[in-house]
Amino acid sequence: MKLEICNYSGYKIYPGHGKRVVKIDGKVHIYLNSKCQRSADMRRNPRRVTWTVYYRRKHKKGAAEQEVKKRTRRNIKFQRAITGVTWNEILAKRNQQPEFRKAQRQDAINAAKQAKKTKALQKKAVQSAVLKSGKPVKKPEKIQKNIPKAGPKKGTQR
Amino acid sequence: MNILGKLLPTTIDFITYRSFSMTVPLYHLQKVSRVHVVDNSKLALDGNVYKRMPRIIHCYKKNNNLTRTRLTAGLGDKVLLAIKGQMKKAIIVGCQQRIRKPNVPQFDKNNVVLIDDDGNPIGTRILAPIPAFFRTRGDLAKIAAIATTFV
Repeated sequence: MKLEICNYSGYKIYPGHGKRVVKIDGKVHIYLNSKCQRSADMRRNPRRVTWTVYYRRKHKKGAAEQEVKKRTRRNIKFQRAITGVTWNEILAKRNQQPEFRKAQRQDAINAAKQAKKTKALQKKAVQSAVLKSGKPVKKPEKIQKNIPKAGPKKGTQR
Repeated sequence: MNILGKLLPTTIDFITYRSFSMTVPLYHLQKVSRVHVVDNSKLALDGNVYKRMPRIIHCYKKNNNLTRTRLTAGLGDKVLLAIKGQMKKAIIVGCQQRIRKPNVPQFDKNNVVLIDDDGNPIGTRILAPIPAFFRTRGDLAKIAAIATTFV
């Protein structure tokens, strides 16, 4: 036996219940009981009538929590290499000890200091050479750009 | 309630409880019932617009225990109509009466399809939905043949 659904309330209509009405325009309405039929005749919108399924759907009563639970996706963590760095290298970097990293940083700092010192020495040497020779130190030339003279703008007059 | 009725005058007595009973309106189709023809035949189209609505003058019913004055007709019964001053036979195709059978619908108007004396419908199409049991009943098969939608 086919289970109908009430046009008004959205409830299931089992055999032996309900009423089928054909309106003047030829549309068929299936009502569960006279409560539904009379509400429909009074032209009450089922989406405003609290106990109907349509109202509950519209105002998202009850069913929404179930849906949300089902839909949460788990993000799969996937380990993989990137171009330029193999997976082993990534692992090695990840597994470095903090002392090792500190030592590396220290080395880097020392190297930087050394570089600075050598630079300063070089500069001093250059300057002293200049003073001895008496030539002015060349400053880098300013590059002048060719900016054309701004005439009357074309096409802006309306 | 009864004591109150004795104290109060009889007019109010009448108002507080009904002394006559009322039945639900029966919506049978019988003599003088006004009816809507859902054919596309010329007589039907004219008859619906005529000064008087088509009316049942006689109900043909095989097994009736009812008296002549109380002949009623329902879904699938043959009747005699008065349309546009003429007499014409017809079959009732939609009834406002609530029939307590499974899958039998109730219509908002009393619909009728014109037939000739042999039982062949005059029109070529029926403009309203027709109850589904017309397909299974042999004497109504001709009407089911020209029907557009079933309910």
